[in-house]
Amino acid sequence: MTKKIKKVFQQGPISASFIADSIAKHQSKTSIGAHSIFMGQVRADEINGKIVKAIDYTAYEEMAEKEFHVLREETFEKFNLSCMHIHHSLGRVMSGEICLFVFVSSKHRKPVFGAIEYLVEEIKKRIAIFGKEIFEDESHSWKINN
Amino acid sequence: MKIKYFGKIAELTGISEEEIEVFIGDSKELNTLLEEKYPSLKQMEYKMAIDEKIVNATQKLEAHSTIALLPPFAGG
Repeated sequence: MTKKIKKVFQQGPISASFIADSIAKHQSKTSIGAHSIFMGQVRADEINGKIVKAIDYTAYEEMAEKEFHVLREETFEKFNLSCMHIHHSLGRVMSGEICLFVFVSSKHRKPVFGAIEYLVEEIKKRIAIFGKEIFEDESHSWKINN
Repeated sequence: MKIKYFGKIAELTGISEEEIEVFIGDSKELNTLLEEKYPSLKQMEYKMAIDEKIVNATQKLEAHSTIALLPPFAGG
């Protein structure tokens, strides 16, 4: 199992090629029979007549990385996973781009369905990440997860 | 004692961190002090973290504690 402390944050959007590479890397792990992936994409919401063009992400990085570690350990305890990868953007991510990539793998399908939902919900609830929604006129509002 | 501000709160304080000198007390007293310094905090939703742990009840502070004021989370 890959349980070492991993860095979650990366600057800017998570590219399709990064995601593809991440999938390709698992071809050598032939005891895996099921993967599940979640991608969070920045949505061009309309707020008071203005369209969101990007989200600027910041985080309390030290606290967030620690909590990600706790969450990873917790998820490995709860679900029978072979591996787990979590990546989140910092800085500006344009609408349509990916800001969160969660990737879990297991021998069989059941654990990955449960784990992916659990991880995404807990990330939204527990991790000290802040999102400034930038509108087309460069004004902004602050995103709140519900 | 170091106080860090994030997101919308850093925007209203105008700084991302500051030192408050030899403040001895608990998290509730610190809250009152910060809300006096930055009155618009009173209208805001936020949580306090002491040494990277969320404060759920009034908690004692140490001179070397790192405090953070965290607005609602928005990850994902």
